Amino acid sequence: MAFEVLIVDDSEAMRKLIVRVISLSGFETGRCFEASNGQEALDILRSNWVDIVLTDVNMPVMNGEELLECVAADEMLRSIPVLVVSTDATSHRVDRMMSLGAKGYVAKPFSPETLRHRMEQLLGASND
Amino acid sequence: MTDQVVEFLPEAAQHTLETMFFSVPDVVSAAPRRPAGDLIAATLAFHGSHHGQLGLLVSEPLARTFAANFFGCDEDSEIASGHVTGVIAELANMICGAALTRRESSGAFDLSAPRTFRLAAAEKSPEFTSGATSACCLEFPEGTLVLYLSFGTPL
Repeated sequence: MAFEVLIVDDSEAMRKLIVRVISLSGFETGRCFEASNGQEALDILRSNWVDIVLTDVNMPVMNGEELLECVAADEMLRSIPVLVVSTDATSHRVDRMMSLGAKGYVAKPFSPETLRHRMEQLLGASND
Repeated sequence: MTDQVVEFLPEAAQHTLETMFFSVPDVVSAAPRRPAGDLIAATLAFHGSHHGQLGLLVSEPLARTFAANFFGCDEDSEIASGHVTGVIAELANMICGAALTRRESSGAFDLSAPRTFRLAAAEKSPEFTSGATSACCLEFPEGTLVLYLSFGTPL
């Protein structure tokens, strides 16, 4: 089964890196959508099937917290697992994002193995 | 706070460089000096439990090496200039986040989007290079990376 992935980050360099990590990780991926903020992500989610969302926190237009709130409020989207990938690994931020509905948290900098492991956990759980 | 930050900045920088750029410095020191030649500079502000800014200067050849390692490219391959500055912006973002998280794991902060600019050898150093709370210098065969962390009002 090929997974459809949405990567949300205002850094093109980070999006490009995550695409590469996913492609090298052995995941059978279909489309890899990219968005530079939460609003672009919502537009993609409302018109495409996506199996997992990886999102940054600090972004212009709509940040990661607002994106999580919108996903949780939307019946069609709330079952999609969201993995937060952020430089901010303070317990305050982690607790806040998990309370808003995130299913996992990866702190930048991260090793490719860490990202792959977290994605496997979420995609495995969503297939159960 | 200052003593802790002096420790956390080089630790955060080395962890970031090793984990995502596969780069280990030959020498790390707390004595910043401007790298020779053309440079790329990056700066970003942070707000929250504390506020201030992080700035960095990196030799252009070293910036290209970091970008090649980040993207998994051959170092001799042509990497677009915009991609190199994008990688340096992300480097600044990750080092700042890692340093602040180490400084106060239960605190809270927001980072602004990093701003990057090129600096010719003859141009004067940016303002963030003076009056930093903490600074460190990491030397590699390809050049030097210098970091400045300041608490207080962003310049």
